[in-house]
Amino acid sequence: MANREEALRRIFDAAGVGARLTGDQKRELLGHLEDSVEKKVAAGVPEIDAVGQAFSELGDLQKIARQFPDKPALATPEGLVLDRWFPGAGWTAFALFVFFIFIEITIIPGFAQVFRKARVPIPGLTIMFVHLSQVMRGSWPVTAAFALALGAALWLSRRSGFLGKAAHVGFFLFAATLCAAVVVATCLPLLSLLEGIGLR
Amino acid sequence: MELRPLVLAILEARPLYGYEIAQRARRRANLKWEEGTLYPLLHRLERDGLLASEWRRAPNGKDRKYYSLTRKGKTVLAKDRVDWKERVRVVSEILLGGRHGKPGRSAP
Repeated sequence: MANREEALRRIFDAAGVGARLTGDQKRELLGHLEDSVEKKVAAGVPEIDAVGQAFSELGDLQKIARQFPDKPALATPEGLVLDRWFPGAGWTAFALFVFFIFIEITIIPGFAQVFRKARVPIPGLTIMFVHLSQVMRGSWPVTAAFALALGAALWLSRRSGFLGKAAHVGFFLFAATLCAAVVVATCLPLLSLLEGIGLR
Repeated sequence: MELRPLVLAILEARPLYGYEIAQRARRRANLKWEEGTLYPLLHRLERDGLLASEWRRAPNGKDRKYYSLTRKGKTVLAKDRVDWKERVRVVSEILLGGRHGKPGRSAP
């Protein structure tokens, strides 16, 4: 019931603890209150009494807000808090990895053809990514299965907590490095090509 | 009463969200507590790697944050159980005397 949710939110905000809680914590506590009120109303308690009882059973909101653990101390010397992107590091890494596969399969072959036609010198890094692109295109079902398996492994590790946040951040750094490397590998011969055009 | 083992034991069977955990604690342990204090505990256990969490659609059609035991959580629960048995044994011996409530030999 939207009205009930809104009413609970307003009472909750009036307690003045909103600023101390993260969005996640507030959403969880409000969900608890909604469930509690819903159960009492279903048992025949008038709505207004059910709301009062739910807040009373939940306890002192100020005290609860103080008991939540502090955020991890991941801040730069300038004070910028970096922990906001950590919870999504695993999925961000996965998105970057899928982006890398997309570039390898769709973009790199076209560039490789242009570089060959233009006969520009191709650096080792670019050659490596071109070879990888050929392998990935040649056995695309394996590439797709690998990406799916990686996504499933990530989902399972998040559910079971088997891999910690550090592993997810490590995966993020690996995927980001791969993406950066493939962009650099594509740009290096392009620069030679543009240089050649300029010289002519 | 120490709440950590209780919460871990409740979550042993399957993932649950906060309100369900509070209700089970109330039913199984006849616990009278401020239910809101459960949430800081859940967040601490998650921070310590004993629980994992995930927002999912609950049977009532609303999104709720489900908590589940991690491998580390299961290990800690097993250790908590051993510790608890030992504590009960020691306290029983002191209160009831000897083993299984028989009068203790060293009782004055």
